[in-house]
Amino acid sequence: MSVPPYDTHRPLATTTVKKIRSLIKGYQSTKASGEKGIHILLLKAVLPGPFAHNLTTVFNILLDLQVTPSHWNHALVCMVPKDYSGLATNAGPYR
Amino acid sequence: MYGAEGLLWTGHKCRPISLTTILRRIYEKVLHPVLTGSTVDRMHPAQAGFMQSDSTLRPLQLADHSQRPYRILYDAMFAFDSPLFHILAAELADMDVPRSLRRSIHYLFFCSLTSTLIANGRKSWMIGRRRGLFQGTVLAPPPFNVYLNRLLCRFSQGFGSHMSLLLVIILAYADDIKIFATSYDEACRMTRFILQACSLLGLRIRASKCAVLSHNMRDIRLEIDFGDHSILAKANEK
Repeated sequence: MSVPPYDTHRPLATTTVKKIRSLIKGYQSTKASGEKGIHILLLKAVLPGPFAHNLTTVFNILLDLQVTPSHWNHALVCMVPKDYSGLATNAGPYR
Repeated sequence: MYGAEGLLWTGHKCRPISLTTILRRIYEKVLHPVLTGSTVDRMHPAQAGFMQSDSTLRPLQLADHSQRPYRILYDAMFAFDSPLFHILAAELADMDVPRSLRRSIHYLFFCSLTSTLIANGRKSWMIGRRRGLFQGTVLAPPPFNVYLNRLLCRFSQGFGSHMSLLLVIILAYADDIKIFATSYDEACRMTRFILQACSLLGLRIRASKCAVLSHNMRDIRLEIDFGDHSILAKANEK
């Protein structure tokens, strides 16, 4: 499958430091970290420093180039059991 | 897989949640409103799951309950792991998603995907993926809705839903599809349509977890044929 060519006419809108700060602040602290082990609490801890500026710069480069790092495409797959009782009236398995 | 109190879980009773790096998740949060904004106008009214700023109850109010007493709930097996990349890419292009965004989605979802499965405290080897979206990631639900959108449109056209009257005869909560039929025969025809359409999309319906419900049941035994399996209808609980 071919990659859509680079689009110069309708580029993706860049993001701002304020937006990135708000996304990190608003991210649930209970979420698990990925394989790299970087937890959201760590990002929240370094947020007052230059981290948000640097991350915004990186994200804007990615948005401009319309690409993402290939190592982001690895996932740890965890099997989370469903509460499946077999009843059609039980909405649990459908969530 | 071993669960709490020594219970044994099979893969069918589990939801495979993908954990990606935290930076990817934040980046996906940046892209999410752009993608939903560019597809929301083209989504079928029956799309009821993962629609931003839209209640899941809204399509239920639009569903044709009075004239359609037969309901069938379909369960797709490992639905988020099933989408075929070439179909999804074509659907995104058909929905006029900007090329720049499609290019970003290509690199995030279609390019060199690998997974490591964790079960019973052990990690598997790295598995290459040739289909599917990472379930549990921020950006996976909108492309999945896009993937199912054509099925919903064709179903509505084929079974005469009056879009002008804003009545829907099919609902999709992401991969959970529910149909409303007027009669047993129509329910069978709708089931054949869904099975065939899902098969073309690479989705497998798990008959054992589907359900048939009807108001019109007292003494009759209503069976819907799912090919390898038939389901006996249950009377609606009131």
